[in-house]
Amino acid sequence: MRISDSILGNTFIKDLNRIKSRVAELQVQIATGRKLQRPSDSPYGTARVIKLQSYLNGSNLYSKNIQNAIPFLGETVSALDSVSNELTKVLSSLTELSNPANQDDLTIYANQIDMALNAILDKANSKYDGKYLFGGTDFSSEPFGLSADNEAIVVKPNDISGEHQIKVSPSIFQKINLSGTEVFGTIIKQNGNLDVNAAVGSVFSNQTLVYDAKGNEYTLTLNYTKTAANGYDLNYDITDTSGNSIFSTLPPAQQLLFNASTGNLESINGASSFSIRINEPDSKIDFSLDFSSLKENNSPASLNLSANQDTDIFNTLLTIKDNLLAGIIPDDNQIEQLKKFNNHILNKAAQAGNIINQLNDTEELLNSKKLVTEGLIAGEEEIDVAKAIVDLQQQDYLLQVSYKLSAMILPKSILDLL
Amino acid sequence: MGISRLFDIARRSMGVYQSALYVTSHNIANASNPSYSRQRVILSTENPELNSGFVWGTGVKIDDILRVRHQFADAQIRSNNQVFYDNSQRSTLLSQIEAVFTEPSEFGLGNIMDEFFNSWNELSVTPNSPALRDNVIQAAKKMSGKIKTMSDDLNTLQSGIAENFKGKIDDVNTHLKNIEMLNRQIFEFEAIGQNANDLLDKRDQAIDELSQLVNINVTFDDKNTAMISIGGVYAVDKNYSTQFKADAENGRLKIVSIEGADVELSGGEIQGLAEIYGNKIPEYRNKLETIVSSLMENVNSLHSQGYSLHNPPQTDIKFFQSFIGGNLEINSEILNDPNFIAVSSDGTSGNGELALQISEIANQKLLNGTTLTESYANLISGIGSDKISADNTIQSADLILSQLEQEKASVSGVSLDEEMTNMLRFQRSYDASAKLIKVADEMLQTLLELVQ
Repeated sequence: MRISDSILGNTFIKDLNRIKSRVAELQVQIATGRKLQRPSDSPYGTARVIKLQSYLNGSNLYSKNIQNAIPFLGETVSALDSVSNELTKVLSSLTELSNPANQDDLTIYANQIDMALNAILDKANSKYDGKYLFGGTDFSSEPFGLSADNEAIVVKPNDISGEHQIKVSPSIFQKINLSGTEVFGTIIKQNGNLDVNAAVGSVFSNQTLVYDAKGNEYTLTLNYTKTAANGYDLNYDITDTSGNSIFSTLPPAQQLLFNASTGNLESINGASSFSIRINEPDSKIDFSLDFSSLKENNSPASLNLSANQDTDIFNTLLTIKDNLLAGIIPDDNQIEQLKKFNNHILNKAAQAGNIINQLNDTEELLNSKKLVTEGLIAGEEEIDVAKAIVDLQQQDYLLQVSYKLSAMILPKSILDLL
Repeated sequence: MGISRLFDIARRSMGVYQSALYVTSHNIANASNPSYSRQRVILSTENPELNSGFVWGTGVKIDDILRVRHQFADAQIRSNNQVFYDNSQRSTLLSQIEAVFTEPSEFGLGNIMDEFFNSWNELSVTPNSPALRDNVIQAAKKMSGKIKTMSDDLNTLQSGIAENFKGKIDDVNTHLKNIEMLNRQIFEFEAIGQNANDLLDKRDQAIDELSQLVNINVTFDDKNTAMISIGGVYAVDKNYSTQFKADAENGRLKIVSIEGADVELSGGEIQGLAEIYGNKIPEYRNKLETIVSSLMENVNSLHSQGYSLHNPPQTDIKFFQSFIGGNLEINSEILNDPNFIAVSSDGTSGNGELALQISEIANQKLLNGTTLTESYANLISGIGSDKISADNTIQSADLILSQLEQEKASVSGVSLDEEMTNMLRFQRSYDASAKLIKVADEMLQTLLELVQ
C-alpha cells in the first residue's frame, strides 16, 4: 500500500481522538461517581434505576408513615393505660364502699367517681397531632361530651367508627387507630346464619335487649326478609317496655347481599361497610350493629345478637355517681360491668401495643429492603472507582505512547536525510 | 543530422523537467489540502524521426498531467456520508432530547411523579392537615412545572430544528449553484483540451459536501459533467440547477424544489433533522402526553368522588383543570383554598380514603399493562436506545468512511518522500540536459576551431 503523509496524520488524529474521548468519559465518571449520566449510557439501566428509585421512594414513604403512626399509637396506649388506672381507682373505691363502715359519707365517693369520670372523658377526648385518638375519622369536634340536657354523656360527631389506614408496603395496609366505637361504644354483633335454601319472602327475626345512656331497657328487633337469591331486606325497630317504637317513622329497609359461593356478606346497601350505626339522641340510644359475622349457608337459619356492653362506661359511672348522691350503693352488676370494661380497655391497649410491635417489625424489614434496593441502584448507576482509575491509567498510558510514537514518526521525511 | 539536434533534445528535455518540477511543487504545496488529488506528470518519448535508414529518437515530452483519483472510493464515500451525517445529526439531537428529560436524576419526571403520589399517601394519614394539603399542591405544581418545561423544551428544540433545516437547504442550494458553475468551467476547459484537474477537485469536494447534507445520486456523462439528482428530483448539470425550499406538512418537515417536486429524503443531515422533527419528537411527546393524560383522568375521577374540608363538605371537584399543550393546570379553586382538596369518602374531616386511592394510581397498570412510572421508564429507555442505535450506525459508518478515506489518501494523497525523490530525479534530469547543451556547445566549438 502506498502511504501518503495524510494517512499517517489522519491515523494519528483518529487514534488520539478515540483515546481522548475515552479519557474524557472516564474523567466525568470518576468526578461524578456515576456511570449513568444519560439514558443512552444504558437504556435498560436507566429504566431500571427509575423503577428502583420509585420503589425506594415508596419504601421511604412507608417508613415515614410508620414513624408518624408509632407516636400516635403510643399516645393511644398511654391514654388507655390512664383510663385503666382511673377504673382501677374507681373499683378500689367501690370495694371500700362494700364495707358498711365506709358508707357514712357517700358524697366523697361520688366526688371521687366524678373526678375519675372527668379524667376518663378527658382521655377519651385526647388529641395527637390535631387528631382525636378515639374520634374515628371525624376531627371536627371532641368525640364525647354532655348531652344537651346535661343528663348523659353522648357521642358528639356523627360517626366515631372511622378507621385510619396507612400503607406500610406496596400491598399491605395497617389500621393505626382504635375507633371511639371500638373502645368506648356499644357494639351489638349479629351472629349466626341465614338459610340459603329459604324461599323468597321468608322472614327471619331475632331480638335482644338494648339500653339507653340512663340504663333504661328497650327491645331491638331485626327482621330479615328474603327478596332474591342471596338478597335480604333488613328492617329493624326499637321498642320500649310498653311496646312503643322510639321511631316516629320506621327506618328504611337495608339491603344485604351475600356472596353466592362463599356465603359471606358482600354488601349493605351496595357498600362494603358491614356495620350500621343507630344513634337516636332523643332517646339517648347509640350503638353499632355489626354484621361482619353473619353468613348465609345450607343450614336452617339461626340468629342471635350479643352486645359488648349494656351501657357505655361514661353513663355507667354517671349513674353510679348519681345513685351515690341519692344514697344508693352500686350493685354487683354495675361493679361487674366496670371490671369487664377495664379488661376490655386493657385488651385494647394490648392490641395497640401489638400494632406498634408489628409496625416496628415492618420498619426493620423495610430498612433492609431499602438497603438492598439502594445497593441495586448503586450497582446500576455508580462506578467502580478502582476499576475506572485503572482504566484511566491504561488510557493515559496509551495516550503517552501515541504521542511519543507520533513525535518520532510524523516530523520525519526524506528531507531530514538530504 | 546536425549537432543542433542535441541542442533541441536537451532544451526540450530541460523544459519538460522544469514543468515536472512545477507539478512536484504544486503537489508539495497542497500536501495538507484534504480535497487535493496528487498530480503526476506522464512523460513519453517525442515522435521519432527517420533518417539515413534509422529511426532516431527526438527526446522527451509531457503527455499528460494526470490527476490520480480513486473513483470507486469516491462513490462509496458519498454513499456512506449520507448514512454517517444522517445519524450523527440524529445523535446530536437525541442527546439534546435526553437532556430535556434529565434522567436518571432526582430532577426527572419519574421522581417528581413519585413525590406527587407520595404526597397523597402522606395526606391520607392526616387528611385535615393544612401542611399536608399544601404539600400535595406543591408536589402537583412541581410536576406540572416539570411537564411544562419538558414540553416547552421540546417545542424550542423543534423550532431550532426547523431553522437549521432551512439553513441546510440554503447550503444545498449554494452547492448546486457552485456545482453547475464548476461543471460549465470543466466542460469549457476540456473542450479546448485543457487540463481541469484542480476544478475537478473543487467539484468533487462540493459533491462530497452535498452528500453530507442530503441523499444524492451522481452520474457523469462522457464530457465529465456531473449530473446530480436529490431524492428523485433532478437538481443539476452544466446548464441547469434547481433550487430547493423547506416546507412543512402534517407536522413533518419536507424539502421541495421551486418547481414543486417533493424530495424523497433518505440520508444526510437534512434527513436526520426531518426524522427527529417529524417522527421522534412527536412520538416522545405523544407517549409523555398519554402518561400525563392518564394520570390526570385517574386523579380527577377519584378526586371528584371525594368531599372537601368545607362545612358542608363539597363534592364533584376536579383536581386538575385541564391538560392542553403540555400545560397541566391545577384547579384554581384548590390553589386558592387547599380545603377544596376532596379526599374524604364520607364527608368526615379525618377520612383520607380517596387520598390513599389516588396514591394507589402509581401502582395501577393503566397503560398497556404497565404503571405510569414503568411507562415513563420505557419512554426514557426508548430515547436512550434510539440514541445508541444512531451512535452504533455512526460508528460503523465511521469505520467504513475511515477505511475509504485511507484508500483514497493512499491513491490521491501526497507523499512528501515521494515528491522529494521526484524532485531530485527531475532536478538531476534537468542538470543532465543542461550538461548535454554544454557538451553540444563544446562539440560545436571544436568544429569551429577546425575551421579556423
